[in-house]
Amino acid sequence: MTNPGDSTAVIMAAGMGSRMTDLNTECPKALLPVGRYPMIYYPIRTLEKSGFAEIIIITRQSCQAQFASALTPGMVPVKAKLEFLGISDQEDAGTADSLRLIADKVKTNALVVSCDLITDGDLLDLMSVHRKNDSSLTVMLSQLPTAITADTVVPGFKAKQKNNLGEKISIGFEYSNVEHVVYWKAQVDMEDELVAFSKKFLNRFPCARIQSSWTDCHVYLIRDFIIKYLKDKGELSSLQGELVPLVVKKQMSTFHPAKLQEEAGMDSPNGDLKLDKKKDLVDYAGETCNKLSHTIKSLSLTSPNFGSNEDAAQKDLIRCYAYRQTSGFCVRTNTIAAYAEASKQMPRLTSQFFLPKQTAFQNVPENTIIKPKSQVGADSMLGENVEIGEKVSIKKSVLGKFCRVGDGVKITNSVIMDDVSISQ
Amino acid sequence: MSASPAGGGGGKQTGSKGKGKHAKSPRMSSGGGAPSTVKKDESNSVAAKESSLNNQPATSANSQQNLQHPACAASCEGAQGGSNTDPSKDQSKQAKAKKPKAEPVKKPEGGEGGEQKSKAQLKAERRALQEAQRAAKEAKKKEAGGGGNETAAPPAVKKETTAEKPKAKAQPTSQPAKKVKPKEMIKDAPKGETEEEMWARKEKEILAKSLKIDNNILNLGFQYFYHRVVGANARCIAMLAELREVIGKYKTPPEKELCRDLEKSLLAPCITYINYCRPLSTSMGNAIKYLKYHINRIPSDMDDRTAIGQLQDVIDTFIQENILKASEAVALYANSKIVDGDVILVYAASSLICQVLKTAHVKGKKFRVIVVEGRPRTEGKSMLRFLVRCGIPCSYIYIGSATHAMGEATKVFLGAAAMFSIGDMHSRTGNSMIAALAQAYNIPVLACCETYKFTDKVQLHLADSNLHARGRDLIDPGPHNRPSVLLTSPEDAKSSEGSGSGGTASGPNLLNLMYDVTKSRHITMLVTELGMLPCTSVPVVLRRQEDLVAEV
Repeated sequence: MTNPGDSTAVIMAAGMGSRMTDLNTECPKALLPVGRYPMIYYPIRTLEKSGFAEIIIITRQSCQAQFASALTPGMVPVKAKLEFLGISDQEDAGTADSLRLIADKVKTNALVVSCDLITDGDLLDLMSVHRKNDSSLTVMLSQLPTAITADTVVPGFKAKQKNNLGEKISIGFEYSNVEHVVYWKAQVDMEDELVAFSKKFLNRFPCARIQSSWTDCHVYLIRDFIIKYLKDKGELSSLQGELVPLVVKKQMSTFHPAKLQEEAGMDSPNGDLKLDKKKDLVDYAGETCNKLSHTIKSLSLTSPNFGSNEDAAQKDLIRCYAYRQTSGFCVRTNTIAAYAEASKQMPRLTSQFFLPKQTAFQNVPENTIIKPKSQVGADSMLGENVEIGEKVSIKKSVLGKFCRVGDGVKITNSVIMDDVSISQ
Repeated sequence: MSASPAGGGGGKQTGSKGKGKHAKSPRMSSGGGAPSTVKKDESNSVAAKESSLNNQPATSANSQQNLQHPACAASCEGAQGGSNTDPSKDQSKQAKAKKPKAEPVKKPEGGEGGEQKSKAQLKAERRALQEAQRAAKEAKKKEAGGGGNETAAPPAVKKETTAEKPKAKAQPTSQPAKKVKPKEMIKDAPKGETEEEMWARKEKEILAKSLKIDNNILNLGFQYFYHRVVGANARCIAMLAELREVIGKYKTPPEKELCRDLEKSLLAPCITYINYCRPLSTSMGNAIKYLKYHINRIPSDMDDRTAIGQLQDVIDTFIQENILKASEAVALYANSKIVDGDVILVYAASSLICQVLKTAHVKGKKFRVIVVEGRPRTEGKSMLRFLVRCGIPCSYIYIGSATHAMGEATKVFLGAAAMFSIGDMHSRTGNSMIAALAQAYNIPVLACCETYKFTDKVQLHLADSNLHARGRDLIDPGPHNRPSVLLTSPEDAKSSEGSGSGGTASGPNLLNLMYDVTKSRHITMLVTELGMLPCTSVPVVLRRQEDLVAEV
């Protein structure tokens, strides 16, 4: 098919679903059904489509068995080889900690996907952006999720839930190259109304556009040296919250190749750089450079380092880029509203997700027993072995497996889980 | 076309594989010496004339072939990106070439009397059979609405790619097996694909073609395609650096020899991929030749580790000697020509010229530089940035005003991407203008080039090489105000406001050439690491290189 090129695919499924606790009591968030398959199946499918044959799934140790059984190829059409790794339940572990688990398996890049991302975007385009810019961290952004979940009525709440302000991130792009991310700050991290920009930043990026309408899809393509840095520095615990802003900020750092040998004292220009061989991210980046790569950059006519000396300071070692998904379907099912909406839209989208030759996919499987005078709308999806009584009308809904629906019931705009009985 | 002998008639072009063989074999089948060859030639031309008459019942498929070939050819230019000819010139050549090719082949039986079936006629019969079968298949495919022109197209593409290799190879029908890539590339060609669509498609396919290719090479391909690595030296070193890594990971499979297998299984796909992303430059080509030569010389009993180490050393020495040190040597020689008070004119950017100027400045010479800019690549800006960083006084002027700059300049330094064997210089579009202008003003033009960029090829005309970039780059008045007269594609038509053309590609086809040829008569002196040479010494240097290689 296509070549994912030595990247390690990781799905983060250890989240506890803190924004949808009502649904998470028995079932881990990643195994909640969306449409007919568990939520985690969709990122697996996206990765498979991009050519990954092996995927690592990081879960809580207690749920590991549940995952393994839910994702056996018999139950769910998974072609890739899945490897389950568990982090212990006790620690309040974040996504960065999960990444430390697999730090040794990462050869060139790590592609980190969250389990709650349902998208038909092509990860290969993400990798193209990563490759062509030689970027250190590529994120996937989309404005689609907010569009999709804008007006949903959340079940269980009387009033319409406001769009959670805490989720918003202000992202700044370079004006001339819209894929280049130069500023990243979550709104929760902003203390005052004012935002400060250093002169260095303005010199480097005189024209930047900052927007907060982009949703971070939590798909990160991370270079190996950043993983190494993560491993060495134990303080970071969240990818989205801490690592990404850090890397975006570190783009401004300069790499001084010669100074690495010196015993740098307190009068070193970058104060936080070296004290007792403490290394900054930039130094990790500098280590991975091919010895000729600086020569190449200084000879290439389009590079900003054109004509520079062999031992000059390198400014451009860390680069962050973003791939924007502008069309298609993309949603992060980490809130109840998003989850409900995604489930409801699933019947419509099955053709996009599943190739016709893959599974004979019918919204109403054959072993459904439907008594006469009942209607199942075309935009509904039923699980296996569902029994539906008489005069039942089901519209725009998703029913799980083994459901029993009594007579005369009307189901509209709902998501019903497995093994539910609805009586008259 | 480079160096195609002016063979008689369009049909006997050496480039055309099938035809070439056909044409040459009567001549080359020795045996009878002159008379028999003449006879066979005659019979050939007789056959051509006869079958041109016989061609009336030629199937519709055949004439369709002919019709579509110009279209194919025209868009093959874009698709191939290799050594292709100017569209307008080639169309007519091709149309002529196609017909004679088809006609003798269409001979149903034997042609002339059929008494003495010479080799040529047998071949012709076989060819006729193949063509008939192909035509039938095509006709079937046409009904199915498929890409029946694939079979027609590979001959066209083959013709162009082998324009520089006059040796007519064997079977044209083996093309579908071997040359899958050109076929895939021009699948859309018959629909009259515009250049825009070609670039869009290339962007998507660039990843699709990348199975089994090492990650580093993939990255490199992307960097080439998106013009992140530009410049003969930079591209060459980048490629060699990646090849070095890739070779380092190589393991000889059992029962295979490193010297043969390395090239076939590892290098060839990488190089094809890189070539697909952006056609190889002369510097890269020469480096690969050098590397292949050394791979072939690895003795079969050497173990992997040593062999790989040796190859990596070879690559390192090549880079050091031929590129890095050579640049320094060129800079030294060129410095002897820079005096205080000079006003040096340079065009766009060249890494070698940068080194020359920096060395001169470091030595303390007082001079100033005029940077002449060319669109659309505006590489002069990089040059300018570099000069400012060095502290050299500089000016910046657009090539349209180059005449004005010539009034002030005392010397012109140009950097080359390659030197042809007749002394012409292959470099960024615009250099030839500057050189010609400078000569008109009696200003010495010094071309700087390392010897590894010398090639024995000859390119006669700037448009012979179709190395070009996106046409859309040529016009960039801003994201919103593209004037409708320049609309080149339906998408543009839809996106711009108030376009009345209603979705059809109505604007001119843009051609964004990257390279041009500067005639040797415009170049005063060629500065290489071997010294200052006149341009006519290029073949001497090449011969010397060959001798050196043969000695070792």
